[in-house]
Amino acid sequence: MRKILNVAWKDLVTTFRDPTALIIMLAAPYALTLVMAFAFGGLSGGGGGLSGIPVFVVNHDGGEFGGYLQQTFQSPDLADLLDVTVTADEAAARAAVDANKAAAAVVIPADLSESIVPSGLASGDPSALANRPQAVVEVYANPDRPISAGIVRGIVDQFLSRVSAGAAGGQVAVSQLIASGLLAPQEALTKGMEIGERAARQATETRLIAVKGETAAEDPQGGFDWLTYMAPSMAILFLMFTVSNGGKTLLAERDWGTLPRLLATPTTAFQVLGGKVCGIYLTGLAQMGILLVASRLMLGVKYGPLSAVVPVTLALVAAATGWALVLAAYARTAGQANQMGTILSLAFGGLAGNFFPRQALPQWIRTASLITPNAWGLDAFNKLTAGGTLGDVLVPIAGLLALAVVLFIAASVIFRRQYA
Amino acid sequence: MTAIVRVQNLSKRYMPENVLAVDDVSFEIQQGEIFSLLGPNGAGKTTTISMLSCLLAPTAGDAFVAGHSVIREPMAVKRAIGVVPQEIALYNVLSARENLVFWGRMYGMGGRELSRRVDEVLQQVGLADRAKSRVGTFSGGMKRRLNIAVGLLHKPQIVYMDEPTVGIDPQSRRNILDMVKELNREGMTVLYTTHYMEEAQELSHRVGIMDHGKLIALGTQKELTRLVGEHETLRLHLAEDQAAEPLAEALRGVPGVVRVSTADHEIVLIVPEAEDALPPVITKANELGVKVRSVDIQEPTLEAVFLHLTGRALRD
Repeated sequence: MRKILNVAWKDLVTTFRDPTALIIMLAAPYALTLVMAFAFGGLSGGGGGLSGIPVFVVNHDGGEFGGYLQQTFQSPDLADLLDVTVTADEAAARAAVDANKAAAAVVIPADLSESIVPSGLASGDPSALANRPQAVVEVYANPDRPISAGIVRGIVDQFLSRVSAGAAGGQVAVSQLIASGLLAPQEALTKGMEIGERAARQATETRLIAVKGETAAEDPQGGFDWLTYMAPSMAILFLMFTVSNGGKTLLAERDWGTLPRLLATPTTAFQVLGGKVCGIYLTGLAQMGILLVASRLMLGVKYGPLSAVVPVTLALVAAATGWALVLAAYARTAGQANQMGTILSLAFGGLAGNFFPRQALPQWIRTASLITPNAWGLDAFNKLTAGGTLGDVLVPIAGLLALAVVLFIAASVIFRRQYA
Repeated sequence: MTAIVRVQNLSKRYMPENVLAVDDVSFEIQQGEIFSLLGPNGAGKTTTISMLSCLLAPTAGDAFVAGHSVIREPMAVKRAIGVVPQEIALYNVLSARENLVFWGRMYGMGGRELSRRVDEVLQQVGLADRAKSRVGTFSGGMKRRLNIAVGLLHKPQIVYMDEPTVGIDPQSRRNILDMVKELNREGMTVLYTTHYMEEAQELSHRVGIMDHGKLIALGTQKELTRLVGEHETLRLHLAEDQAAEPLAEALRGVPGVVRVSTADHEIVLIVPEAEDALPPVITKANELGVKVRSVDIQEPTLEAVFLHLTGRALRD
């Protein structure tokens, strides 16, 4: 046993001293977790979901339309998504954005209402429509929070497009009513105002951004948390790269001349192979441990009780090690093992949903993915991050252990055929 | 003296290529001697050492190391031997000390004994001051020395050194040869394989000459050179634009010339008396218009023995 542990310890140390291996094992999954979570879901809110986007609203418009836009931002539907501060101090709002205290400042100009329904219409001046000012609602965006700022801009755009559509529809309707004699020109302003206000009110009442609403139906826990999904997902994906590399070193030792030297010591082939397997397992375990702890401490990902996380991780690494052994037994050279390992890791990642939620994949792919440690592991971690306990992950743990047993047997059969 | 290694009719046939790499080889190595296996690349030296290290199973025959059969008691044989492979079998990312500790543990060593032996062998191979440096930063010669240190760590009864000077500079080669002699002075038995005649000549108490898997001669240097008789070696160095073969062919007919072989722009002649043979040889060269740049005359050497036995130069 001492010799097995000696080989395993040597493999662990040599792997963790290899800068390239460290990048693949630790830096790459951590960076990709951040990039993918940021790209798809933003990172605000600590836990990773989109909520509480800080936004300042500066309303210079004394008319009704500025008020409607302000109410849109303060609507109950957007209360979770936005954290709105209404202020008359435009400079302070811009300063808040510059200081990264807000994702954006929405500056409503004084002539917004005038630009939609010009006051000249009240005195029956039909040229008032043509001469109305061109109002510009400014969204002063924070470049450090592009996704959050984009959402604010989207809310403003949607409001304005609905109001514009309403105003245009109102003008057409009023013109036709006057032409057909059903409406007196003096009543045109009142009618036009009614139509415009209805459009603005509808814009306020209607949910403008459906970020939470669209995911709420699928996820009873609330919004889809990309960070919580991506952290274990990337750790599992890169675990496969690590164990594949471990399997490769079994063949590389032959190229380095260290395998014959090991076998020339009073050590059995079983002890050498056992040491290599333990080395792969310990390296995978160390990598998963570091990544899970790092994402917990630095990204705030909650993995649930340790009593469940530990057995899931142990079983996951065992199954991944099984694949590494099959690979090492099947490949003839270290180079071949390397290529096969890369292809296998990426294929398993795609099949099991390491790059996007598994729920989005067709059923047949989800079924096929059960041959991968990735699918079982991801399933287990998804359950744990959603508040599950050991009881909820017994099936994935059993799946991973069964996979490990089958793969270990397959690897030993191939090894015997190759080296008998 | 007692034999520490007894090789009995050892053969190895590689399948499916059906290549007979070692063909019915028998010899003994006495305790305390340096025994060299000399032969060109592909002669079967490494295959023989691999069988004596229990890395390859013999197709026929058996060998006994420290009284243990390589077939029936491989673990006992492995405990008795130290192996210095032809390749540098070390881990580059580990330091010299870490490598030695790792390999020492593979020999079942541990604790203070291992630590003490690591210090000793580092001193022995002159790497004590680089103990903490990673092997990847070492020169080829330093790696070779550490490669040897691993083989000495557990104080084996015999150390096998398979071409330990391949690919290193002359100074490192000198260091290694001196180290082997020093080890032997301290009582270590050494089985040394090489295709360098000079190394075998300088180090060995006895030499086994291998060619095409067979042991074609065995004995002390004196015994082996006696096979050639009192013959001397006459070496003609030709100008670079001169072909050796036409002159070699012509020299085969010169009276007194026992053997002729060629290598690049060189002709090697085995003759009873070099001074007597030289005038007709030069005359023949002049007749054929071949320019001879220089001539060496050597006392009987192992190379002459190899040439005498095989008709080929050792470097062919």
